[in-house]
Amino acid sequence: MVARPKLGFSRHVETLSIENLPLLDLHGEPVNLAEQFDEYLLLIFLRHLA
Amino acid sequence: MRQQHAEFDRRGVKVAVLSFAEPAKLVRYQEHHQWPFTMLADPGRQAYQAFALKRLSWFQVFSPAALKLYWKLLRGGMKPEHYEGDDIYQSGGDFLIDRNGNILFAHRSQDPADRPSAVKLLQAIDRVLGKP
Repeated sequence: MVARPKLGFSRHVETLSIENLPLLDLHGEPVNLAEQFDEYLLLIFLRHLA
Repeated sequence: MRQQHAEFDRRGVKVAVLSFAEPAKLVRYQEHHQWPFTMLADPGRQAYQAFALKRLSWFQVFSPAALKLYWKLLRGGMKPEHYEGDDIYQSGGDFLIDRNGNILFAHRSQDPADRPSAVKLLQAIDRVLGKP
């Protein structure tokens, strides 16, 4: 499922299959996002690195 | 943000920072910034797409608010860092998710200056989780 764009903070609950996101750690190894936290996870998506 | 690390911990919230940069670039970035959070790479931008983080227009990247922010940062002594192949048009965002993949709140930036402070993120977390 693709989340819908919203302005500002949205409290409308959307759901994603977080296990299937192809993320990598700093060594380039695959990471399962679901294994990164116990209760809640705050994801901060950077724009760029500068 | 790094000063508020304990406040996120106290609420049972782990923080992960995602970038679309390749892991090797992210290593250099992390060596410089030493963020106390998990750093993850999404070079294919599948996570950015899944969370509906679109690319910004030229007018959004160079909006008056963004130009004011850049000016403030430069006046404050910030020196631009250069990472080859960077994409200034990709938007960022902040999301709180639970174990089931539910997005409990979402903030999708509309321009580079549109990023909530750590205090605002903690307030949003408290509203959603019903904690003080």
